Amino acid sequence: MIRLILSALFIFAGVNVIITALVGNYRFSYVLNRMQVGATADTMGAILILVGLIIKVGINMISIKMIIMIIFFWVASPVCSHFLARTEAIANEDILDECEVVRHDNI
Amino acid sequence: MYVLLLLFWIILNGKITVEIFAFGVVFAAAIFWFMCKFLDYSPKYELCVAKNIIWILTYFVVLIIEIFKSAIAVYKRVYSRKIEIQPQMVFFDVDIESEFLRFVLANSITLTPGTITVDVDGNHFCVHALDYTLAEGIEDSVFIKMLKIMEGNCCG
Amino acid sequence: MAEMIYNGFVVVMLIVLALVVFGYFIRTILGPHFSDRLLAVNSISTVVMLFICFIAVMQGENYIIDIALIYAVLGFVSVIILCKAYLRSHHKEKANDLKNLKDKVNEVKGEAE
Repeated sequence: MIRLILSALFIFAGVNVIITALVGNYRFSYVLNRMQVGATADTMGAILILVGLIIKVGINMISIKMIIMIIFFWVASPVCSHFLARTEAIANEDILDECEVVRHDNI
Repeated sequence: MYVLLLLFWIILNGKITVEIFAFGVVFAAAIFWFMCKFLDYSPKYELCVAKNIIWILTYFVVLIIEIFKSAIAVYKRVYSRKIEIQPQMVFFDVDIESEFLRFVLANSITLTPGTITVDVDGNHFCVHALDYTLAEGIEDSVFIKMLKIMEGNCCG
Repeated sequence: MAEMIYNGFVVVMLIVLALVVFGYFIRTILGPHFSDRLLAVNSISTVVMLFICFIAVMQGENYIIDIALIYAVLGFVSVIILCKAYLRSHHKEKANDLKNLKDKVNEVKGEAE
């Protein structure tokens, strides 16, 4: 009983995160800003939902595979959003209109 | 690492029989040889991990706490109409020598909501932040300090 | 009883996720830039993968999770390949780094000074 409630709570939180990503997707006007919330949905939303499902099924083969999936997501999804951001930064000519650039390095 | 590969094989198969186990031993050995030969992997990294195990666990806990903290900050900006966001792109240098640790740093910066690593070129990082408050103090964040300690442990 | 309520809850969540996929679909059509569309495609692949996980847990089958795993890998690889192909075909001359952006920043700084 408690397990079901806990799992439902986790799933609810995850779905909320994903809905927030959609809202942010329509609220912000520039791709890099949209990407921020999108990346959040990829990591936090997916992980919250998967943790909820793991709590539901208990420990068996399904949940172990889900843990593998969580690890894969933590490694792969940042790489994905990094690639998208780099594509945008290289391709867009007017990127300086959208965000100010600060340099703390010394080249 | 070898044990991890074998475990991965067994988990993907879904059950343990003698046949699957025997094939798993062979394939895991083959992949382990491939990693050592072509992917610059060597067993001395495992020693490194064993030395740093406490720091790695602490790193994960700190990472999760940071993710939740900045997720709340991002959600405030998504749902309130009053706050105007000022996106910012920050270039900064990091003095971490190891390639792998720089990869870990870039990944954790991207995992934290509100900041994305746009480019890594050697030591130079380029990070895009949703708001300038989220990018404050990113050149000397907790992650960098912990990674430096790990690197020091490894080489020493 | 509790099991039934839980199942109903899961179905409601699945419907909500389907609506989210629909929202991203509209964004894919609208998106002014190339990277807008790619971002939406990436998010769709994540949500669909979660769908498959839900189905696997509801059916209690082992192999459906494998499908979800493969779907996640495919979405990841496809986004990266599309990014690379886009950069190769449209921005060949710009090399493969942010030199462009850095030069521009330096220009703006020089003007300001």
